[in-house]
Amino acid sequence: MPANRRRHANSVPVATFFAIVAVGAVLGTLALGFLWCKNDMNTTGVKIKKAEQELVQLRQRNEAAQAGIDSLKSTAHLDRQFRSGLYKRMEPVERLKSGGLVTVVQVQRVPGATGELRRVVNERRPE
Amino acid sequence: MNRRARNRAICACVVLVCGFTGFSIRLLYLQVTQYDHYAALARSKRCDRVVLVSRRGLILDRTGEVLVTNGPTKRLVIDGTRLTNPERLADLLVKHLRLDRTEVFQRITKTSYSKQTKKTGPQPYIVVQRNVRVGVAEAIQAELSPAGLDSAELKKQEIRGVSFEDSACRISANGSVLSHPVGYVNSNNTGVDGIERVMEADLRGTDGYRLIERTRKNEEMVRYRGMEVAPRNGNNVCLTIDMGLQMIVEQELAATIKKYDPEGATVIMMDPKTGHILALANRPDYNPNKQEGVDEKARLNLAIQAEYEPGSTFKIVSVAGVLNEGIFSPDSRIGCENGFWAWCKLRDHHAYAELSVNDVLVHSSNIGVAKLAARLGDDRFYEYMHRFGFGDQTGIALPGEIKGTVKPPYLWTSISMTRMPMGHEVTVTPIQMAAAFSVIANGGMLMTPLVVQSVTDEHGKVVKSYAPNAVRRVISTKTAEQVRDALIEVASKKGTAKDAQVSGFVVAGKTGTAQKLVGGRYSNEKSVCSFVGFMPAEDPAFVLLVLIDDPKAPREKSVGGLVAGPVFSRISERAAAYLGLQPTEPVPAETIIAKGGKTGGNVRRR
Repeated sequence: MPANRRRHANSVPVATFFAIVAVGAVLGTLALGFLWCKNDMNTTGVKIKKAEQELVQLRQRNEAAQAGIDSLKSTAHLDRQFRSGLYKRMEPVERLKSGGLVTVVQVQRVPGATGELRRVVNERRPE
Repeated sequence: MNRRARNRAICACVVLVCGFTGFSIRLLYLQVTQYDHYAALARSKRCDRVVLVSRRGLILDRTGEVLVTNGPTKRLVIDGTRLTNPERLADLLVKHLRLDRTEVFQRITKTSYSKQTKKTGPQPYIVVQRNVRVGVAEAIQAELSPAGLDSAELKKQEIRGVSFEDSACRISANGSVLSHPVGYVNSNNTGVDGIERVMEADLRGTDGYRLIERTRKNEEMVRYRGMEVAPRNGNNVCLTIDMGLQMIVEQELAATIKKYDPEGATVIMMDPKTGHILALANRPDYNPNKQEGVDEKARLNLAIQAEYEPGSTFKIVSVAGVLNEGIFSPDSRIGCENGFWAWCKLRDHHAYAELSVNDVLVHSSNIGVAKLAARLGDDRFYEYMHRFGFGDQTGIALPGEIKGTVKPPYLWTSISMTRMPMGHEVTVTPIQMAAAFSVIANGGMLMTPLVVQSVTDEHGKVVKSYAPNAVRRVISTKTAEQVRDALIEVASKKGTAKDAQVSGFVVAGKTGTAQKLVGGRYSNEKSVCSFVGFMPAEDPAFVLLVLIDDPKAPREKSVGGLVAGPVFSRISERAAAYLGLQPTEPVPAETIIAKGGKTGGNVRRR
């Protein structure tokens, strides 16, 4: 068969077809990628929001606990506690195995003590 | 084309042109003329500005103890335009918040006219309850959309349009202690009284905000977040108050109230060298954590908002005046008319022919002090009253301070000059009297009473600090020492304030007993008893004022030396132990009483 006829007989434009398919595939992939990115941004946003809400809740709990600690640490409360005759003594860590963390004991008055509550700090006095 | 068909075509064209022209004009009107209105309407549908709440600053005492803190709460807000199931919501709020059902239902279904939509309809922002505890808010939130229902039933039961905004309430860690100086805030967390009000600018933070966009379901689209400005928390305010001393004052005052059941009482402890207020307590008081039903009288800070006739404590003005002007020396003799000065009908409690200037104070002679003031003269006496700070505000950083009443000489009557030196016909505030005694304790310098020591940011860095402020020199150092020596004798065995003594220390002070005006006449039954003094006299650590208004005691015992003096003594003794003051006087062995049981007991001086 002559070459010019063979060209006309085999007229399917394979190259064009593949080019269109390739361009379509690229465009489709880009579109899907765009959608995936958008979806991912949305999902991340929801996660961020959830994390922020958890953070807010934690902060609020922390503030509530801090307010409670401030009230329990207040001189008025400690004074009431002290004058009620009972106070809570913290046990050393090594004794924790046998008992609880806090033990309620009767106040033992120290000879020479003035009976006033005073603030104590964990600072070493200079030798 | 025939003529008829052509006419039809023209008509159609004209109609089309007119129609499209109309549409175009309408489009121009909507897109150009009304652009702002519709753009804002669209923005309001999807955009929102979320407030990022700042934290109000703390109030601390001089040692850093937290006096006022914040507790997280929620503000229950309803969007009436989106609200579903108002009946069920009302039931829910009654259950969790104990609100009146009829009232709450009316509130959540209330309608109003909207300028934006030009229609009457449900309100878009209704604050139903402030300061809802976080736990309660979470419980309500959980019940808004009940779990375990199918979609049809859920749609029927679900409550929409309810939200909780972050908020905070103030918590006074010590309850009613220091309620007057610290004050309280209103429902918007704005200071109304006390330090909360005066230091509002420092305590209040600046709220931040975030611009967001919402979906149709009112959920935030995080990826479309706009500008965000972080909140700035308020600064902390450190007071000059010492909670250790405050508690001593509170306990002794409570015991006094129990014993005498007075109408009111005030105790002020002040550092005379700096003007720092170390403790301040009034009765009646209130608990800032429970604002409902508080009597308005209990909100009065008597230390700065109550004026009273001071009685004999005012005698220091005349004595200091004559000594400072060099008119008399402490040993100069003054005739005391044997207890009754006839022309002005002035009496002394005890009859004296004559007394030294010092003894006029020691024996609290009304006649003697009237004669001293007479020698000083009207104008100079009036000037000394002002120099001691009477008739003027002290400048303490608390709201509502009054000036008291010191009449100018042209308003005096013929006997005013005999009554004012003994503390009648003048009214003063307790803080003025404490500041005036600080003049004697501080070598003649009048200091501004300070309540605020410094302002720090949330990390503890000092932003502002308030240095002691000397107002003026009132009297010379020598005169101050001379008056102090006289005041020491007042609190000695021969003076009127024997019960104010503190073992181991030298006390200087003056008693005051003023009859109260009832129905325009001085009452024989009601009096204001006070004692003002300082300790140790040679180097005062504090000035202490004790004022008891109308103690319920027998008439002869209702005097400053017997009512207020012992309170001064007890507070001073405990304060000296707290401050670690070294006794300067020997303590007699027989006055040391050993108390206690098996442990050997605590040793208490009496």
